[in-house]
Amino acid sequence: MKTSRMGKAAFSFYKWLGFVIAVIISAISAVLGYLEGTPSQLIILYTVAIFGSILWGWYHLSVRWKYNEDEKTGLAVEQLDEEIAEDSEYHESYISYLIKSNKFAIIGILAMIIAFVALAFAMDNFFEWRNVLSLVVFFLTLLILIITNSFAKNNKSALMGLAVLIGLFIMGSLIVDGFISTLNLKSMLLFASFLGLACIGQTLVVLLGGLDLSVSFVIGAANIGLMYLINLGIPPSICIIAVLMLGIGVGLINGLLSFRLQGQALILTLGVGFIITGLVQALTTIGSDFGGSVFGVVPKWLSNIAATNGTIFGISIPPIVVIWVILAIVLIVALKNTTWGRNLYAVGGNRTTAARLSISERTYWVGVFTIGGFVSALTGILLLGWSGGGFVGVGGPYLFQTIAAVVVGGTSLLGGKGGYGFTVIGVLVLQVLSSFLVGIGLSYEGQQFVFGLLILPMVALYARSPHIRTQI
Amino acid sequence: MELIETQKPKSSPSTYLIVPIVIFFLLFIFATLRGPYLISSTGFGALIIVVAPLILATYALTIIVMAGRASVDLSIGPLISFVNVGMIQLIGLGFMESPIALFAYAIGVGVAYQVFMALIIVFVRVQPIIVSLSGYLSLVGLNLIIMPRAGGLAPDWMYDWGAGINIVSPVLIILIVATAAWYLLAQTAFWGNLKMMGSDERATYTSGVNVNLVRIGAHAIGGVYAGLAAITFTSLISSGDPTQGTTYTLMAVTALVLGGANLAGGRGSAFGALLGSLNIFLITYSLSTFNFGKMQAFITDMSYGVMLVVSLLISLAIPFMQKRARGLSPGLVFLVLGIITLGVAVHAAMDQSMGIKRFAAFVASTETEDPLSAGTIILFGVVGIAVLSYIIKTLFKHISASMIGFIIVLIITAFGLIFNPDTPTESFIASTNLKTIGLDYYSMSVFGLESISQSSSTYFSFNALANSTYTLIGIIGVVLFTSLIILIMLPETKVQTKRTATILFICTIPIIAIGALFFENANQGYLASNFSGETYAILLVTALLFTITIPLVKTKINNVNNLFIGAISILALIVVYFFATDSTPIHEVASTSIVVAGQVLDYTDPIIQTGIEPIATQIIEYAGPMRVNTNAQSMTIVSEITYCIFMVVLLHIFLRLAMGETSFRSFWKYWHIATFAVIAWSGLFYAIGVPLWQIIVVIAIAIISAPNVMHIISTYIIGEHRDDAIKKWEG
Repeated sequence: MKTSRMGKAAFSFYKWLGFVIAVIISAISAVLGYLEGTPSQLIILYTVAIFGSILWGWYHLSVRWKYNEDEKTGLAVEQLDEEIAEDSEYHESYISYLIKSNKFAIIGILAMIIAFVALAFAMDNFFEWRNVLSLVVFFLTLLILIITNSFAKNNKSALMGLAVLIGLFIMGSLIVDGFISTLNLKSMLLFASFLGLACIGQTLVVLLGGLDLSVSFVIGAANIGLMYLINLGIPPSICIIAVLMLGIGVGLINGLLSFRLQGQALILTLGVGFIITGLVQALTTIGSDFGGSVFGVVPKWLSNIAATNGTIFGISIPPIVVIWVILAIVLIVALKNTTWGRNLYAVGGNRTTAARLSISERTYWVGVFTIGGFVSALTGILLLGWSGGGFVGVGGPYLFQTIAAVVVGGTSLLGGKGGYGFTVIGVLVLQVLSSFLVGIGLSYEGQQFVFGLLILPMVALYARSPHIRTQI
Repeated sequence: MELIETQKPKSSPSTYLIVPIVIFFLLFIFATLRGPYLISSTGFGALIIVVAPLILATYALTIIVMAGRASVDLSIGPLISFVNVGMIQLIGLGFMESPIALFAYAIGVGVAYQVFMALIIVFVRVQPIIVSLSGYLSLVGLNLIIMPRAGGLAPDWMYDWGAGINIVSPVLIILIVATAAWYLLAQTAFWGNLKMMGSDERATYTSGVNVNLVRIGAHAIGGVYAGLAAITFTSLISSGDPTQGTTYTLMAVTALVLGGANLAGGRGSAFGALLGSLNIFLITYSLSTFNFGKMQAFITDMSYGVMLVVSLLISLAIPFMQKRARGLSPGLVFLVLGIITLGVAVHAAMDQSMGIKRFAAFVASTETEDPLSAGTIILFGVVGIAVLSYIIKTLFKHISASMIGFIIVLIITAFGLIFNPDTPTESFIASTNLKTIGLDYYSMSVFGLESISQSSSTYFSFNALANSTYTLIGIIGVVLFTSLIILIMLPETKVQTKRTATILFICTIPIIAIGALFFENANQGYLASNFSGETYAILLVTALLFTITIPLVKTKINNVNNLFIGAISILALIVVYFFATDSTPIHEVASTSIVVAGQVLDYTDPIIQTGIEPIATQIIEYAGPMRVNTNAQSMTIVSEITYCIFMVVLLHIFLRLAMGETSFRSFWKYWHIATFAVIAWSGLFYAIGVPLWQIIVVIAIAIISAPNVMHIISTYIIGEHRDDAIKKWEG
């Protein structure tokens, strides 16, 4: 963060660093392929592919770096000369400069290496190539993160999210057996779809600078509400429409009530969530033996939509994934290219400006909450298809995960910055991370702990507020 | 001084407290009517035990929220759980047997965690809500790792804490110390900086305050409260529970909002937090008196939500309120509602006929146009008079106090006459299972006019006249006191009016003394006075309220500190009221042993004894005094000592009022007030069953030690004067 713009020397240094990394990784992959006895044609193919993709990725990263060329052209010639002279001097000692300025990071990395070595001595079967490689991948990810954080021009969070995603994915596939099996990928996508759907509303609300805590409650309420209605013997399609209407209603109430209380939308939606869950639970408990849970038979087509082994048009992809992808594309396009999306950013960015453009703040505020209610109810319905029995606690994890995904993706909680594309990355990161943590044998509680610890540095990387003295 | 008195009152900064106050009293009335069990020392003991962790957690939240930047600490619940679980596990391993180590551990962990959070907020500069979110997730996970399921044992010395049988328990002491610490803190410069930072951080930074330090300080203090909350939580459940965190977060946030704190920062108070937490408890309590079966938990959740949303929406009206209700100070609202609530509470608890059965009967009776029950008369009477006097006051702004007093007395008399008692129907008595008339003489229902009608239906005599006279005196007394307090507390009231009201107040004290004497008679077995224990108990309580709140008259109740003193005094009075009583709920006693020892008592009316020939002698079944307080065994040593200390403190407060300065010389100027006060206090304590020697001892100790205490208090008084002077100077 010290130098937001890099000098010419640093620029070329990092550019070449990418090249070196590409060479090293492709060499490693070639050697590994040779050791495993893969046919030489495949080795060459993969090596070239890896080399090419890394170089492309690095290039993609580097074009986004802030490079202070523009400033230089505006300067006087003599100053330019001086700076070039400085730069060349700078270039000589750039590595030592880097070491000096990143003392703590280097100490940390050294500590990690020492810990790794210690573990290798302490535990049997620890020192194998998978673990070593994943350590290397981990360091590379860190390196990319640091570079991106210092020099990326825009979309910093998306780049970093992608880096984390790829790093995690590689590490997962190295360490966890069956991580890249079709089944695991499918189930990861399935859960990511649930989270992603639930995040649609949250993203839009956050874009306007609010937070919606009723998501998990609406999911739970929709879940048991639908089961209850189906048990009453009403045709499932009508039930689903009714539940979706309920979701829309809750969203509408959220939006209308919180419009004047925008700073406290968080708490207000929490209250509304409590009301709706309590109400639905109380209603479903009447004449039932089980408080809070409803059992019954879920229609086949509904469970097909949300099951890991579900098929769509004969292809064995869970239909919910397709639904999510379609909705995501529609939403991303809508946010970027329609008047509605533009206006949304305008309202989120600056209320006064938006009002000057005669954009109704109320319409957009209520609108995003309504959409939020709708997608939450939808998620609840689909979760019923997945679980096969109504349980109100099914929404529990989504209370904070939706916020975590939005934040990790990089949508600013202050509103006006970000988008659903970012959230998709955030969702995937969370999902891959949780699969990874499950894979290395961490319990649900352990995952929660790690999630909690993860959010903070992720946000700290790109959503720091300016120092108070710069706000005056 | 005159200049300040005549100034038009500005909108009180704590007007926002009116909402939680009104909600609190409405809930309290509802709760006591639904479940009178609450009004017993057991009920209050349980209340304190259950609500203490929530109150302390809300304190922690409040002080952190006040620092601004919308920093609602969502991780408070898991933090409490974390301290609790860690404590239990460490004890299980054999560490931390002693209370000191335990307190140090709990507070240390709380402070360490909060300071860490603050450091992240300050130096990493991430939004506080994200930091707390992150802490929430990590701690919830960590708690379950430390202790996968609820279990473990609290240390032995902590077992008694969670029993909740007595009002005075270590938990209460923790609570009081924590609250007192808050108010001491509120006197410091740090507090001012904190409030300023919450309102406008940039301005605070520009004016040279080290905002980082203030924020870290707020978090550290929040950590202390969180640690205390964890200790009381542990004593409540006597074990470890890793899963309670989520509930506590939601409850504490709800309490915070219910207490009227501004989530954006800058506005919040311990009093609001206290009220908010109590409101949460009262909702749960009221709902638990209904039988919802399996729906219970859901209905409770739902009503939390409703309260949260409603109080948030009400907060929208605060600016409007501050504009319109300028003359309405929260202190006034609190006092008036407090008196009404006390009346209802005492009635609900002490008068078995106002128990649940009677309440049902009353509901039924309103449909069949049966005579109103006593409780409603009192309720409507007090409410009506309070409202009336306020209306009168606003109608005739410049009318003199004596005029108002006269009108009030007139209204009361008319009121008492209008409610000409009809004969209660036999079905009414039968439906309420009112087997003993005698019990009724002891109960509050004589306060209403049913007893008159009962006696008049059986025989007409001077008895009836005496009954109605005493009833009227009772009602007039209550109303007079209420109106006096209103008059004196109103910031607009002139000094002259205030003085008149004070004199009137002094004149009514003898009534109370007479009542006390008659009660003593009644206690001896003479069912003489219809001026029953509860009637004059209310009078006394009201009088005490008045006495205690006189010091506030000087400063015009418009700040929260005074409000707090008012609240504490009401609570203290309730405590006094129950110290002397048996902890067994009255209803059970009343319903099981109606005829004590099967005694059949012969009595003659004392009024009649005074000269007139007794016209009728009635044999009546006597239920025994409802408040079994003369029995020395019913008071433990702890409560006796506490009670003596309490009396001494109260006396000191009064002396401080009377003297205004710190020497005996100034004391003599007000000797008449002091004498009256001593009589009033002694009357009260004598009446509720304290032996005479105790009272004398207390008075002696109090008078001798008064100047020293005055000296300590005077440091605060000097500060107060200085502030006044500065305010004057600043215009």
